[in-house]
Amino acid sequence: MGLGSYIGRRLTIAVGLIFVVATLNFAILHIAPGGPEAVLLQNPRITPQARVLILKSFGLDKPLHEQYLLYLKGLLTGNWGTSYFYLQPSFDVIAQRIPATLLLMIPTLLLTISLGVLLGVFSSRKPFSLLDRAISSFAFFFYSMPAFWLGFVLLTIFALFFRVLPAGGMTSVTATTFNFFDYARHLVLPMMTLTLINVANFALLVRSSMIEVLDQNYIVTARGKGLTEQMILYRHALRNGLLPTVTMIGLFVGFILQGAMLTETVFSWPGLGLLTFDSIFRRDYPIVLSLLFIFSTMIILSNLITDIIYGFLDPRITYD
Amino acid sequence: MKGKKKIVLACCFLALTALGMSGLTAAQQPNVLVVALATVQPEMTDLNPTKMLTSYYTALAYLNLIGWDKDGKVEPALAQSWNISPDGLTYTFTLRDGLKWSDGQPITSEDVAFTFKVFTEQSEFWYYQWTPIQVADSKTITGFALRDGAITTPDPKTVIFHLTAPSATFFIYAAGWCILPKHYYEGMDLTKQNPDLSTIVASGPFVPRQYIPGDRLVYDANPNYYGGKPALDQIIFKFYRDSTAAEVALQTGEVNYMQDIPPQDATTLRNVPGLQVANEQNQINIFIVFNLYPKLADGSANPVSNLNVRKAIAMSLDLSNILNASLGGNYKQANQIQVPNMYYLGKSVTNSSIPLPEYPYDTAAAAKLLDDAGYPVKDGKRFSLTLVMRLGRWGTAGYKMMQLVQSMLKVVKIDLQLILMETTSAMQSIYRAAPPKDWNMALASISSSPDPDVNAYFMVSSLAGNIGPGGFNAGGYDNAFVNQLVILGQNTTDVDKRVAVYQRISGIVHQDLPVLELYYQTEVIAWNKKYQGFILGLGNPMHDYWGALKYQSLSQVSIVQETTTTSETTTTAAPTDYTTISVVVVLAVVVAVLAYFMGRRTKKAT
Repeated sequence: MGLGSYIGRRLTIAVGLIFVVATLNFAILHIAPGGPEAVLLQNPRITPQARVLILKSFGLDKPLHEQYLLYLKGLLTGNWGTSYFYLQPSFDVIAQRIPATLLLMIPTLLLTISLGVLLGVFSSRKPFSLLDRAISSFAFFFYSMPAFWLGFVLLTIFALFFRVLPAGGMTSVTATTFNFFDYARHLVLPMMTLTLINVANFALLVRSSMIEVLDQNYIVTARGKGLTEQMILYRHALRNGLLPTVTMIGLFVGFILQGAMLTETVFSWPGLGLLTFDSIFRRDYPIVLSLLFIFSTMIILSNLITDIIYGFLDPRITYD
Repeated sequence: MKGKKKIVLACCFLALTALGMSGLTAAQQPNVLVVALATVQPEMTDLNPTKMLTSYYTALAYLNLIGWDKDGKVEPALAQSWNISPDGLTYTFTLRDGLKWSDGQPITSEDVAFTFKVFTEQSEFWYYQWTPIQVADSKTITGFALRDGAITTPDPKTVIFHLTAPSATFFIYAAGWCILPKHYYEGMDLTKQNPDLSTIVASGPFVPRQYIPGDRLVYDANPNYYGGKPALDQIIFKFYRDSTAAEVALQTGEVNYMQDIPPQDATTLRNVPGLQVANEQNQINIFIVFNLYPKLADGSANPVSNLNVRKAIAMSLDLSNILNASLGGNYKQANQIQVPNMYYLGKSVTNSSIPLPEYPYDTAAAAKLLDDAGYPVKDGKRFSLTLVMRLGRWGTAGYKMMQLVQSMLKVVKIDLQLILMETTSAMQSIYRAAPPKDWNMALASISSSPDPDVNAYFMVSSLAGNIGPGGFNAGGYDNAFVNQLVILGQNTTDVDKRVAVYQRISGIVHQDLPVLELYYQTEVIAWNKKYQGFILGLGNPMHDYWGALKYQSLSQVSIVQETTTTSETTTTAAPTDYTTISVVVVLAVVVAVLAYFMGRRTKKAT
């Protein structure tokens, strides 16, 4: 089977998977106790007649199967519903938050991968040495921490005690124009939180992969040829040692979204994570379903892309 | 250390220093008050007044015909005077002279008439408050329209409401409502669109100008505010999803004011130099609601449906110690459904004959009541109960409070299981589930209104579906006489007689104990001492957020000009010079990169 057929088959499966996930999202959200009316109507002064009107205005008076069909139709036509709380199309509400999330996710992803690879390589040079143990301990230490707790600790240390970084938000409160360093200052703590928690994944994966590669005959040959250790590590071993990391990147998209939800809450970073968090508690169905659709599509597609890239990187892989 | 490495390290140090230095100065422009919003749901602000009336938004932007002084007594706002006809059918308001919207247009009686038309016809959330001036109309989203001739405006300063029947609640609900600018909102379909903040006009001391979802809401001073241009240039509401981050920001000076601080954090903040911390009672009443249905949803018997069991529970709890231990003095112990700092047209509606505490702490008497009620101790306990509470709403203080309740009930051999639920699930379980419910007790609260009808009607009446699914009377208290009194209260326009009705209701409720009053909420408020002019006390009880601050005082808040520095005061810091820092950082990076490549070339050459 060629690459084209492989991609076609995987895309077909991806579409089916997205449909299943979308259906499950709808079902789970509606099975969960409470609904948007519990929040919309929590003002006790709203009369029973008014309650009926409010539910009708949001389409919540329709039977569930009708709501489900409308939801599917909306997904296909690009009409993802209107937020119960923002009174704007869900797509618009989400689009407003995407830049903030990308601003957090992309640097975090790059830093986590870079740092993870670097630590993994350093670790692998002399397995079980003091450096290796220190790096592994460091990685496990932060990996085992809850994201929100680490976030609060960093907030307390850097924002409260040392007062070198801000306590939250994406920009200074009174900023009226874009300033790169203002954004950068606000990015440091949430990015540090996500990076520290996730760097262990890459560090340990690269470490074990590199240890395996460094044991190979061609590495022994390279040493025998008199190449420097640096050249052996970065020119010969790392390229092969990084292959499992490529797979990890696909999965990492999901991890980072999950971590971003908690981190954005701690640091009040106005991204998709915070929107998801709030919308789930408010049962803002259009927003939650749209976000779940986006996230699930991102994860499915990123894994697909990872699998395809893997084939290019490793000539031993064939598309069967 | 080799030369190249020294240069690289020095450059990195410079860059980090520059980045860090930018944090050492408070990045604030002068004359701006930054308010942290943490516990208030910041996202419930689509800024459409007909949908969710988000308190801080409307209270600052749109004034009412009347206001409240710091003691909760009615005072003039947009209206300088008013008159109610003896038959209670005609309400005449006279506006102040020279009122203007922020764009300079005059505020007239036409704006008042327009406001009620808009809310009647376009707001399914609020239309029902003014039924005496409405008629049915199937063409509007609410099913109602303003009755022809219900509001007349004989001149720009006079607005007259003509009711079809006397209504004791009409004055507060009408005169206490935000007045919208007709020239701005006319022609706008607020069922489908939100106002544009870049052009919005307001009558309050500040005009909303910018809204960044999830981040902030910015107000500019209104030069045409009738109380005079505010001393501050801007008020910025900064949204925090967690109160801890907001408190850190308060301590570092990123924000200057914060309300609704968790009580357990009050002591910490009091020790922070430069912060003023105060307590003020707001209008929220916190209580335990008893499920009065004989059986639960699963068919099991419900012990708390027995009055003696409820009394025994009340007598088993040393409430003052429970409240002290969990709230640390930031509370006022409650004993009745009406909140004591709420006055109805200047009159207190509290019933002074109800003792405090409602029932004395007496575990021996409680045990006897339980024995007499047919619940002796068997196998170490009498019965099990469940108590539902919302996660997050009460914070750790609330959870601690209920744990103490649990411990004290154990003394009389009642096994209490606490069920924590997130908001929506809790609301569903407590209010929206059809009776009988699946819990015995629930922790609840109500935000009172300057009209005593609210607490009486919603907490303890079974009128109009109030005990059905969605009804606030979640426990199902159904007392026909109380219902009659509530209706009487709604129709009695004589102030003294009306107050007597609600005092009577409070007395009956105390006897029947459908709810166990815990406390009236006292807010912990903190602000940077460089700001002066805040006046605490019920500011606008129609708008919950500012419950403990007279929000109109924000127009007089100013920054203290410091001439000396002490360990207790903070000075206004110069704005951060990002340009210089940017240049330093860029130079540092360039030097580091150059040093690296120069080092490599040198190494290759050798």
